[in-house]
Amino acid sequence: MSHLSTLTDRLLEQASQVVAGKPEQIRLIWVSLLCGGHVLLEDLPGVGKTTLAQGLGRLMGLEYQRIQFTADLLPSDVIGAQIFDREKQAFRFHQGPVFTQLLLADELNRATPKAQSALLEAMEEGQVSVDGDALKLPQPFFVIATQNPQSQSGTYPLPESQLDRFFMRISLGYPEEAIEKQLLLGHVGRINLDQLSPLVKPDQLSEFRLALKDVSISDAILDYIMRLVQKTRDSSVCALGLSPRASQSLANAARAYALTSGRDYVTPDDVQEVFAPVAAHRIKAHRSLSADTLVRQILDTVDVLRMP
Amino acid sequence: MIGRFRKRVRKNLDQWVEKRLPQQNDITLNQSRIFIVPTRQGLVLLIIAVLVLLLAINFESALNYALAFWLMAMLWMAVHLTYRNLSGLTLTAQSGTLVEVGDVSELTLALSSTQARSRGVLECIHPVWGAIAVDLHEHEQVVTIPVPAEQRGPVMPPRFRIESRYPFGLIVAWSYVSINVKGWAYPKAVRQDRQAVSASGDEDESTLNDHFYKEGSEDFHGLRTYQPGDPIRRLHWPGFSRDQLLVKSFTDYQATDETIDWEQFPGLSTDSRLAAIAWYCQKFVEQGRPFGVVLPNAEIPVGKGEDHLMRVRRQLAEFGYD
Amino acid sequence: MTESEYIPPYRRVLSQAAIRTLLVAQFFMFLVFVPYMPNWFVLVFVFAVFWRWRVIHGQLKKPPVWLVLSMIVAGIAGIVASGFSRYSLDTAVAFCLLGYLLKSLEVLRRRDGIFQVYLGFFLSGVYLLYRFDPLGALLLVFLVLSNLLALQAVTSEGHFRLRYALKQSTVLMIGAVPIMVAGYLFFPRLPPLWNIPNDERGAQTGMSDEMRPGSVAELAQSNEPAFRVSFNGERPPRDQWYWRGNTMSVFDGETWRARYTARNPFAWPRNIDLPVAEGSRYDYTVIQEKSGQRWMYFLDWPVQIDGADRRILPDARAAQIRPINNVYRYQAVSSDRVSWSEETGAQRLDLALPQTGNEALRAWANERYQEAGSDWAFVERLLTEIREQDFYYTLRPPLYRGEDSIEAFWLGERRGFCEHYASAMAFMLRAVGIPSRIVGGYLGGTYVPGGDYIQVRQREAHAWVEVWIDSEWHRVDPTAVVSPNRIEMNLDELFMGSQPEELSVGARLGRATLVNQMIMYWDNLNYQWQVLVLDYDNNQAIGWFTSAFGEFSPLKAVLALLSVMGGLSLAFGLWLGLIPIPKVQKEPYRSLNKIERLYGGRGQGETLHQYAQRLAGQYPHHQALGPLLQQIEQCIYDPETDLDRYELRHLWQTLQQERKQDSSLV
Repeated sequence: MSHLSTLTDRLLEQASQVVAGKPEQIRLIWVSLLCGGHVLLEDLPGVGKTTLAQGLGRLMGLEYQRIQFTADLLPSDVIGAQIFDREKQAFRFHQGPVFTQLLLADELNRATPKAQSALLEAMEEGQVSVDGDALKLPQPFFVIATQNPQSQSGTYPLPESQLDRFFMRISLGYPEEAIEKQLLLGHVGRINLDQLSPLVKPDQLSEFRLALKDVSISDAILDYIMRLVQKTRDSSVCALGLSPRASQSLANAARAYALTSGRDYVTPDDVQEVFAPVAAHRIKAHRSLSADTLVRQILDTVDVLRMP
Repeated sequence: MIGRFRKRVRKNLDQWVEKRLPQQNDITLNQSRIFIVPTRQGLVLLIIAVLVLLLAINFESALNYALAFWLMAMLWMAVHLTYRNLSGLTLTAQSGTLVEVGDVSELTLALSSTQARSRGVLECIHPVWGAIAVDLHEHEQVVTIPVPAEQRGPVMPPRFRIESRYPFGLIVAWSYVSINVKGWAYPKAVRQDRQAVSASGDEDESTLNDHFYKEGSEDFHGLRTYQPGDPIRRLHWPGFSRDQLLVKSFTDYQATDETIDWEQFPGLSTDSRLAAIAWYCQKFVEQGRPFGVVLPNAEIPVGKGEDHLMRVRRQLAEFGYD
Repeated sequence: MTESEYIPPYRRVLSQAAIRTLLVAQFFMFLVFVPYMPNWFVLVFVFAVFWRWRVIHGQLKKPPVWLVLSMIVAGIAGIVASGFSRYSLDTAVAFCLLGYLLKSLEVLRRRDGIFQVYLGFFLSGVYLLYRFDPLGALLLVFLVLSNLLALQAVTSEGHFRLRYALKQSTVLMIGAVPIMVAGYLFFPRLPPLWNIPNDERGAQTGMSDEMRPGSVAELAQSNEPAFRVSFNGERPPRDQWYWRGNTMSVFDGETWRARYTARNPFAWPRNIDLPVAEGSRYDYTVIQEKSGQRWMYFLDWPVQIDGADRRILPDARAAQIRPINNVYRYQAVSSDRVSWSEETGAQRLDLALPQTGNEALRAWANERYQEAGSDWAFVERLLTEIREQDFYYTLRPPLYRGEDSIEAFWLGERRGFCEHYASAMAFMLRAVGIPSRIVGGYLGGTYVPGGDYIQVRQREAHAWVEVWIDSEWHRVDPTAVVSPNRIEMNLDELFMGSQPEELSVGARLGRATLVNQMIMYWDNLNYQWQVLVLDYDNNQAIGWFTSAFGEFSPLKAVLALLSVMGGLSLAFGLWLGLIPIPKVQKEPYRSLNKIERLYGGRGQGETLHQYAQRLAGQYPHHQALGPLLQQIEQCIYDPETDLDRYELRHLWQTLQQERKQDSSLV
């Protein structure tokens, strides 16, 4: 256990050299990876989404590919295509960028729904189908998708059902003032990515995933999670509540979060930390209220611990 | 002197109640919240019981002893029955309506309980609305409390008294509840002159611009000459065959959007600005014209119709109270 | 919604359902009083119903003043005209009931309705002055129930549901029973505070203190119970069941009267030398029905009676200063042979006769006395006369009136009931100078094996003669001679055999075995009711109380009652789930609770970790708080951590010390 928590600390330290001042977000991405879930990074351009994803890929020792989604991107640009090999006089499947371990899908919502769904299918199934053949993707397969805020023009917003496939949605936000100043001075961040050396060996990851199962989650925590989920299902609070898949994700994320903190049991703090990233993109608030505000409100109003 | 003393006692009592029974979204009444005393009617029953006791003593009537104590014991028993009416009752804030300042906002509370039992008639009492009787015969019942909106912003019910005299009126059990249920009041419309702040803002009120188009992707609009960077997919192939490089151009149609902007009313107080915005919104809706509203903290996209108006009014009501 | 004003509950207008229910309750209330009130009250009631009907159908107005006033005046006039002019209970009840009926004319608001119901409760109490048998008690329960239903209807804001109301009323009534029993058992029975005469109208039953020809025969038609006797120990033989009530020594030629009358009970002699028992003693308990008289019934001859205001008078009868307006129980001792003192022996009065009248009879008696020679022989001679001449024992004798009425019986018709024989015999004894008097009482009774008591009914009424010979009173019963079976049989048995047509229908019906058994069963029930309920003596309860809590005092009684109420409240509360049973919270929740009490609660959505951090900021000196909360957190959330009680206690101790230091700093 402590092994993982020191590893996490080192990871955070290294990653902070890539994107400074965002340890929480990096930790959440790491948690998603442990749980085998995909991450949607949502933020304005230029806050360092891409850099972060690249850096993490290196640190975690994963094979890395990047797709820039544009309006005219075709599904075959993602998956790959049958190409006629003149030498062999036969069609050969040319693997698309999706055949990798860590895929950075940049500006996912710029692509047409068709292209989006090609990727999302791959995320969901862990395989792609080409001309009726199912091709397995490498393991682990981890997608970090970035997305511009919905309001920006020229975007195809992802439908709810597709959003649900993302384990977490994380937004980076502007750096803090002090950090940004340091950034301008060139004291932190933006180091050459090649200088980073992998911290995690590929087989270690599956080891961690096994350890995840041993993290115990007490009844008090399960009750708390159920209270949170029930609250989102209360029609006077939310227009669309959390699905059972979401509550499962919530419990898993809390486990992983506890593990990265060096604990083998979950505390409500873990649940609170992961609640917003796991839940915010899966619920729909009434009226003009933003999902993030709603999530905050729910956390503030649901009893953490009920005395028996 | 005595009046002042009473006022002070009253004030202290209010503070005590405030501290003891804080405002909440949902309140379950239990023994720490319920007060209970006999009513005047109950005390009169006691007098009747004493009279019966006198009968018993004076006429040496044994059964009257029993009757006298029976009546007294009924008063005591009624304490339990009446207490039961309130105990375990949950009041939950539900919703409030959006009204104009000066109108009455209707705030809705749900009265519910986990045990299915008839709780008789409960009354929600406050000088503002008198008494509202609820016959709680089922699991849940909704009460609507009319609260006049005196100023823009949230309309909250004052701390009111919920009491039960059921089933015999001998005992009154009550609690003071303060429920966090909100209605909203939007400002009363007041006409003010708008001042231009930007090119889009100073158009004449009566003129409607023609549709103008901006490039979009929804509707086919026409053909235009190719410019470098245009997507190949939009090439007009028949034209290409005639050696003309043409591209299909698409457009999103939009009506002129009149934007009512906070900045169009400089030099006015917040509430006057909001009142002015309310006036223009109402006007525009009456004329059937689409409009948008820009406030310092929010921007409402262009729209039309009653629903849109309500959305804007809500925004006006909530302005400054987030 | 329009501005609505708060109307205090008392001023709210009654709903239709309330008015209707009230009317039904009133109807029942009125119904039970019908037998005791003049018949024209029905008209008042009908008028009240009519008015209510108008009200229900939309005439929501108060009746005009003239109408109310004229109704009141007419009512009062009616009551006075019906003979209720004296200050008495009946008059008071009549007025009360009139008010109850007339009040309903103007019942519109809740206050009026409540008043009506409360008056109903009070009238139910009044009803208990008329009826106190088990049936009456059942009726009372019904009346209370109907009044409670009306009360519910009146106070229910127009949401009256009969089923719900019935349930609530029943719960209320049953729930109140334990307190009622406690109050009934322990409340001291106080003497009356003031006296309201109980009207004589029909209220008095049983032997009166006067006897004129025909009055006993009248009683003998009644099937009502007079009293019940249970013996502690042996019962006397059946032929000794002479229950004496009244001794009548004064004769005016037609009517026999008692020497001490009810008119001046305070002039009754006290501290007399009582007859001293010489023969076998009988200890027994009598439960006497309400009679309105002051006489108590005794076996011959009374020696002792309990009770402060009861005493034995010189003419060998027992009386109570207050009239017997209720069921009373008393302990008494009698003996079949007593020695008489000067006071209790024959007086000059026992020889007095009117100057004139019955001259022929006097002459006849003197003649026979000369023949007989001695007092005893004369008595024998008279009895022989009855036996040998054609005297006839009948319940329906001819009416003998006037100065010479006794003569007309003895020497003329010779048909009579016991009082005729007794009266004639006493007259003749006095005429020849032997002191004698008449005793009115009952002869016989029915032994009820189920309850081990003897039941005596009015129809067992009897009169016999006592004669003073050899310084001793002797009982002489001429009826025994004219109808020897009367001594062994009850009157109805006797007449059933020979002259059934003379008996009342009730008495004849009572002969059928099944009916008889049911009557006996009912009588037994009544008896038990009287013993257990009506004449419940709370000395026993007080004795028990004293032995448990020391000297009885009102304060202690109130405290006891309050603690009973408190205990029952608690029980009810727990039973209904109103009071949650305080659970002993398990650690670590108990510690957490304690911390929250000491330092203020956690906010909603605040985790233990955040709470600990907040408190650490607020109370930097309370160092133990952090570890304590951490341990609690770990205990709750980590299933593998067991509670380290020792550590927990240690942390608490440290925290207490820190708190102490902190408070001393401040």
